[in-house]
Amino acid sequence: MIYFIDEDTSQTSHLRLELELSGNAVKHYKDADTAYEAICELFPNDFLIVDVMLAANPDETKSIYGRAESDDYKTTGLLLLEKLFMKFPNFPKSRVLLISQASILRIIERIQSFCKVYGVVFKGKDEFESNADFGSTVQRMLDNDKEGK
Amino acid sequence: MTTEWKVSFLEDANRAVHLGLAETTSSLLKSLCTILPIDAALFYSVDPVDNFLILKERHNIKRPEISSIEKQNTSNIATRALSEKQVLEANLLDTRSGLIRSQSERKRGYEKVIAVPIPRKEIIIDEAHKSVCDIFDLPYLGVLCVFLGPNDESDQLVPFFNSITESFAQYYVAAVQREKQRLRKAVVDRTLRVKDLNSFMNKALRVIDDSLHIEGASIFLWDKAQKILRLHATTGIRDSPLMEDVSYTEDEKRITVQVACTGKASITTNILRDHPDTGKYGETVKHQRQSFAAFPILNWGIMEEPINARPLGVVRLVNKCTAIENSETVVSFTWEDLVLLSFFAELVGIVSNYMRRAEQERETFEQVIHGLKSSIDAVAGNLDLFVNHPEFITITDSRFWYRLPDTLAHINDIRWQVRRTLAWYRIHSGPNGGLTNGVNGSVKLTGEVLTKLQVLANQMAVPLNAGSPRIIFSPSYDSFKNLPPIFGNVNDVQNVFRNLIENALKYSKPDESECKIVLNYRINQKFLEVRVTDYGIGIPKGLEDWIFVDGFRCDNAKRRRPGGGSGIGLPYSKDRMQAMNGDLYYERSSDATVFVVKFQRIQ
Repeated sequence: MIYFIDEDTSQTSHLRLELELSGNAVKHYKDADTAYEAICELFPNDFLIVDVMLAANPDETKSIYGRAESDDYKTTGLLLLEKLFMKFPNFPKSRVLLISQASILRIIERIQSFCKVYGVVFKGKDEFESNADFGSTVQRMLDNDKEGK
Repeated sequence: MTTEWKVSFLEDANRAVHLGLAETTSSLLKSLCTILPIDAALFYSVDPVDNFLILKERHNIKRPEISSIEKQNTSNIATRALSEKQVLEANLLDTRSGLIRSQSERKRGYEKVIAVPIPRKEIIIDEAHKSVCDIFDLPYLGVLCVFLGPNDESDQLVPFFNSITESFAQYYVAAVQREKQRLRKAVVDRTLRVKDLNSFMNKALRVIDDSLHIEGASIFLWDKAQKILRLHATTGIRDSPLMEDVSYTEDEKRITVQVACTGKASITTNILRDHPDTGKYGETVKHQRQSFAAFPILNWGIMEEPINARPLGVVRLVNKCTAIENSETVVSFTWEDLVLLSFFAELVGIVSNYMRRAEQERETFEQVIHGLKSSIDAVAGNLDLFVNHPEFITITDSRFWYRLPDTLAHINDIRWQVRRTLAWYRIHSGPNGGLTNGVNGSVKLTGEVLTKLQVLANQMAVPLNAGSPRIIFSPSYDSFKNLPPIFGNVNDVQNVFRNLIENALKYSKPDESECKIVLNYRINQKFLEVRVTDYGIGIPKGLEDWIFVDGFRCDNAKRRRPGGGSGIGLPYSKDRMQAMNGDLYYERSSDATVFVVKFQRIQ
């Protein structure tokens, strides 16, 4: 299962379709709170695609993500991943793709620091030339991981 | 005699006051030793918190002869003179000065020592804001101590010193003010080219380290919601945590938080004694943590008096080291140190206010662009689906189907323009010249870049409404097949050529149905240069350097169809080439526009 966690449906629906056309099962969640509650198990061959600037539950009282700790919801995706890694400590970090189209240097530095600590791959959304480019990048990550690279 | 001495001293002092603080003090002591029948002199400044004396300057006494840099008790004549508020004279045959080692006193044949407290009286030290001014409410600025051997004129010395204390004080304070100007210049010189607030603060802290010999320093600012005090710059934090993990919440009972909330500076000569619970996020220092000062960074960006508003943050400094012969003794902060440090905090505050607002505006821009990018990518992605998966659609009118590639070309062009604007924006908002689109390594120029240019040019010609592009490899395509690999990354190299092709198409002559773009190359041991030549409207004489300036467009370019152009393409491309150890420059030619793309060869 590929879990695609990104609030921007219009921007990502074609990317999800591309993954499905390649034969993958894809589940989509639009905010960090829903994703965290819904993902009850993560198997080693699952794959996570997480947007960094991710929404949380619009009702702040029901969200487990604070405005301050998520830098005004600019890094909610990183917090979600941290919580998932704690919930599923054996899930391989190589099965995670962080995506973002942030261009604020402060956010990008935070993402890079996160990736360095956890060994997670990050790609800017604008690095992908097309849906096919995105699909083949994910497929390469899935294949590399299968081959133990 | 006293009058003559005074005149000579004042003349020397006038000449010296334009020097820096250390040089002025040294000159004043040297002048006294030259004019008067004295052999050596020491000047101690005052720590306004505990009234300790700290040695600032000496003349004709070596460092090993000095008993201690900091005087904390009254077992010496200088501290006694300060506490008794009068000039003290002592016969060294009966007693010891407590300032230099008794062996040195004997060896040098000193017979007398005179300690002269330098009063502050009405001199204004600093017009710093009230929160810091209290600590400058000192009755005395320091103590001057002189040593002399057997001497007939020694009884005239005390009246002389009594007559010059006020002048000495004035010259010394003037030298401190001059030192502030030097500090400001040092900060400006070091930080002139920074592009973001954190880089400014990190570089400014290095100035403090160099100029004032502070072992550890950090700057914390409140986050937007004013609930978390985050670390923004530091000389080093113990145990090297990640910068974003170093923060305090507003309810924590810590000096740093207190200063950042109240706007009142906190200074101590012994942090471990006065605030034992200081374990969290201390600066990395070589010596045990002792002298400590925290100054508020005031919010100068608001209408009301900055002192009444909550500060932006705090500058925290640990361990002042003495500069006497590069000694590494940690001492207390003297009043001059605190004047300079509070001035530094003010400087940081003023610049931080403006840079913070500029950064907020940039973030607003990012939010606006974020939405635009999302929409463009959504449209492009969906069109991409139709093009790559025609089985999704049934088109009853083939005219629609033939329009799709053109529409996609337009959309891709918008994406390219938006991406490039953002990449240029990143270059100008980051300290590292922005981010490349990939890791630099070996690039096969022909196979990975040049062979794709014709297809690219065909696509780009559509939105640019240009004549049919024709990429010509000179002397032949075959001659390009064995080009050596170059250093760079494929994405950036592709973007540079894309920019040049775009310009060639955009600025081609309007009446020509074909747009010819010629590529040739030159190669030497270190570099490969590819020339991109087009025969369009050209670049007016005198503007050859301007075309690489952000936002500049020549007049003839502005009148071209289709309208529009940001003027950032060439500066951005030049930046990218230089980041790959190469370059991009314009070469004048009589009937053509020639750009040279210079690559470093992989050795």
